[in-house]
Amino acid sequence: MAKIHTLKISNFKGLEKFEHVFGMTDFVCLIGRGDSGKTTILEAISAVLSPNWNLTFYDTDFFNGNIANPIEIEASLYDLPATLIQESKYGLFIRGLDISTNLIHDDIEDSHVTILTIKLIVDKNLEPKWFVINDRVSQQSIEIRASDRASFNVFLVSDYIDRHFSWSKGNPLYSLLKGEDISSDKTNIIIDAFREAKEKIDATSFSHLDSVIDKIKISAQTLGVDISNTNTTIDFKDISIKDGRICLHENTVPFRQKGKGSKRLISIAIQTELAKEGGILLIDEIEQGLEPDRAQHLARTLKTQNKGQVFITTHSRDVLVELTAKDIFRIKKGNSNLFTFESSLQACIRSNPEAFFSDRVLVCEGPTEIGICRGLNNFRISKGKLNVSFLGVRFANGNGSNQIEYAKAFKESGYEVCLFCDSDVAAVNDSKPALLEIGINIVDCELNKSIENHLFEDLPWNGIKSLLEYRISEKGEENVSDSIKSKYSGIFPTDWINQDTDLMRKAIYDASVTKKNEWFKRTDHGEKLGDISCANTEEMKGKKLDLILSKLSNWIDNA
Amino acid sequence: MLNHLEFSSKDKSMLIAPAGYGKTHTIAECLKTINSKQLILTHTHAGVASIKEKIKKEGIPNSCFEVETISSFAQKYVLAFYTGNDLPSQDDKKLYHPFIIEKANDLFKLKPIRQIITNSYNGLFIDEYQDCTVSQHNLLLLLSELFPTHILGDFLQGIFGFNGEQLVDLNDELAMKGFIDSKYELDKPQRWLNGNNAKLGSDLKSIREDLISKKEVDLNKYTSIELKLITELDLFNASKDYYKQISKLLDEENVLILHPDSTSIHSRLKIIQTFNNRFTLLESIDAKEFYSLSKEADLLTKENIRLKLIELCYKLFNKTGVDIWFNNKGFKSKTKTEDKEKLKPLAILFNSLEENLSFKNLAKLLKSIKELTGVKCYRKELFSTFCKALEDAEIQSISVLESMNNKRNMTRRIGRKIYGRCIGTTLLTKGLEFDTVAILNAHKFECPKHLYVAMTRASKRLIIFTDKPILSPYK
Repeated sequence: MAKIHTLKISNFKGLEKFEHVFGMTDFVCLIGRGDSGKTTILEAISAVLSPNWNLTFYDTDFFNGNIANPIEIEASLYDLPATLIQESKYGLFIRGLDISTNLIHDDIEDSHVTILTIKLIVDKNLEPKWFVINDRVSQQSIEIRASDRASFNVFLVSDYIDRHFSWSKGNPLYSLLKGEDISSDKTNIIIDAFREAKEKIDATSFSHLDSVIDKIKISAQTLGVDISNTNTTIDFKDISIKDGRICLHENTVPFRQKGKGSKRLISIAIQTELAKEGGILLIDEIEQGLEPDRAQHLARTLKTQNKGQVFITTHSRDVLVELTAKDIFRIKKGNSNLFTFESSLQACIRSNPEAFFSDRVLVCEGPTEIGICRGLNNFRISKGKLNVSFLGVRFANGNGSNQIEYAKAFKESGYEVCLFCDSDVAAVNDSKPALLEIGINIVDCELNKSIENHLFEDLPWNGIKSLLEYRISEKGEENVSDSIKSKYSGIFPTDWINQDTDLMRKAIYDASVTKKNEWFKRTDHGEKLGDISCANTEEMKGKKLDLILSKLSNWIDNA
Repeated sequence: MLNHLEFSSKDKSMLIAPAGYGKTHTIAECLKTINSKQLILTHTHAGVASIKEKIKKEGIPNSCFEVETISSFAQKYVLAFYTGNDLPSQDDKKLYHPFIIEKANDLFKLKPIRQIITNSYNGLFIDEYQDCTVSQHNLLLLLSELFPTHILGDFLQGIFGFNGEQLVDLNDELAMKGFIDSKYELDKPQRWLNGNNAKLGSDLKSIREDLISKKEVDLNKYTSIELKLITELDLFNASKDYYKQISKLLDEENVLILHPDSTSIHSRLKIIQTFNNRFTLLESIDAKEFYSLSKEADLLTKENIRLKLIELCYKLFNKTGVDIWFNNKGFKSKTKTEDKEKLKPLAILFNSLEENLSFKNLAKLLKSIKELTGVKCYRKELFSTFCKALEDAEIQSISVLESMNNKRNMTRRIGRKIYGRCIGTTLLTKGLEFDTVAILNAHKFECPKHLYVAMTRASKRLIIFTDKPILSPYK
């Protein structure tokens, strides 16, 4: 058992310098775009706390392949096994954690929580060395043995999990066995079973091979060698127990032949047993091989029923919505620590899980604005420009007044943020200067106007007609004309659909924003707005709507 | 008869045991009744060694106990955790040890540190408790809050005062609170039963009573003790009886000569010289020469080695012996071919040191010098430890002083065995027993505790050299 408080990594794979203070966190979900280093973090934890006496490293494991700078991985642990905190082990090497500041000190105080810092160093000789270290000048670091590292119970569920079904040393099944009965000599159980098996094989007659053997016996005799006692059986030498050939089977089929998802679940099941004693479970891409509901169930179970510490990585929105903001840690390429999330984003996770996997978030005031952005994306694609997903941009629904909070929280979590909003609510307008100050881009309407104002003011009549036709195709002509008529002051012309007047534009606008009966407050309707607006940009040159669209497009291009 | 189970199952208990009544044996017996790791603390390194040996004899597995001196136990924690930079130098005994105890006192109050101790041990035994200074006592009280603690001691043997610091009073109800309520006593002089000298055992019991009630000790009354009336100076005169008696004793395998003067080793060195290096000087673990020699070695350069080597030799060997082979320019030129041959390899080594100063080669050279005719080493432990420190300093690329500190700390940790023919003082031999003990100039003892400790070191034969048969060690 043990839990990680602070993790430092230098020159390991894609991470040149990394340091993160997880604090007293039992569940860590790492997110980040591909190649940002999520898996590397899990591998680093697995290496620094590895129960193996040796690990194989290659030149390519060094950052940029530069072997001149050693790989260094440092984990500061709490909740440690008492057996390690003895004088004769590493007790004299402990450090103290001040919970109120989350800082680790070398000068121990009464209120401190005991910390051991384990450091793995791999230099150009590729030979890993594990130490217990601290910063007290009077003490030198001491090596920590593999068997002691094994008591941390750290296991990585990755693609190569077949070994998790075998009983050999260093595997989770073996650790469980050890946990069951400390007094008995553990390896013997396995070896004895194996010897029994060999005895059975020895007793088997390999009679079908006898004729060949007999020929050899005679031939040997001729040459003067007596091998008359020769029989055939198995050579123990080639059946090393260490390579873990004794493993779990379903009837006679080994578990390693099961499906990917089931294998992962079984492997996790074995390891959660261990985590009950307080181990560290590392799961790369938790959703792999699992249906969304199984992935969600797994994440939920690990989060609520585990006594140890769990690190997962995920690309799945389904997994994300099961978690709380404080469980999520975001890694961004080139950043030396992880971003955390404010609890104010909690609702946002539920409504916009996808946004969390992007690099750049376009926070939209509501579904209409999201739709417009989608339309803009469609238009960009049709013009041969790069799509938003390629550019790492994701649209998030700001849910009206929440948009300010969301934009701020995303910004603080290290995303590039653009806010796309109306300017018809005073409170929202008042918050904008503060957002600009922290580097958030704002694309908004003219003062006291909403996007719908601009639409009906700036679109050429053809565009407006397309909008009306779309609405009519949804609701029928009568419904649409009635709703406009009710807002029209004066006598409603019969050929209203061709009357490009300010009065008519105003009436259509008023009709389109009637409370409870808004025309465009749905992403798909918004998308139509976007499509139509973009199709008419040529004729709107210099108008606000055109300006808004080109500003959005520029931001998407990262201009 | 002491009930070991009862004694060791108390949360706090204390055992009063006169010397030789089986105190160490009691610890071993108690360990048998407890099935978990116990910490055993005592004061001297000799004590550590003797406890380890007795426990081992009883077949108790190593995993069940750890024996250390109070100082080294405290030092272990202070060296690990103290982050200040005002730690006194280890050779400054007067400052170093009280500093260690004081800082350990701070450390042992901290929860994370207490956790290490309780993770490591389930109980505590403290031997020779009467030798605890008040500050050690306070430190040990902190430990006694952590697990069952059993103390053993005898107020009549409280001689181990440090820098004249006040010792704890085992009979003080307030200081010994908790312990004094579960007080046990041993009453059988075990050391002298079992085929040894039973009469000596009962005589020492009577003398103990004399000393407690501050009466004069009339040695004529105690027939088991060999009384030799002597004149002090006769010891250095080979024709006198005093000298002859001691000389004869040196034929025995296991004999301890005790000298009443424990303040200076000079008088003991003089006796060793007189008896031609036939016995071993017991060194104090903190004898300052171990450190001063190392410091000098650290100042050596290839330029000054020619001058300094002879100074080193004077400190390690007898002057007469050194002067046979050296003058202030280095080795003397010898006329005899035999001597020339002997010096040849030494000269080569010496020259190599002037080209490239190597501690390893210096140790080699010193060892060769020791073998030269006429050269005598009176402080064998000092010599061998110094040579090892030199060698390790080179291997580990550290200073000789650092290397010496390591060596002395190692001895502190693992204790040392003492056997053969030795000369020492009560302070250096407390807790040890020898078949034969000869006390020199017993009339010089000024403290009943020292005299009692001296007499009780003998298990079979006790010889007392004194200028009068009635001793009155009360000053």
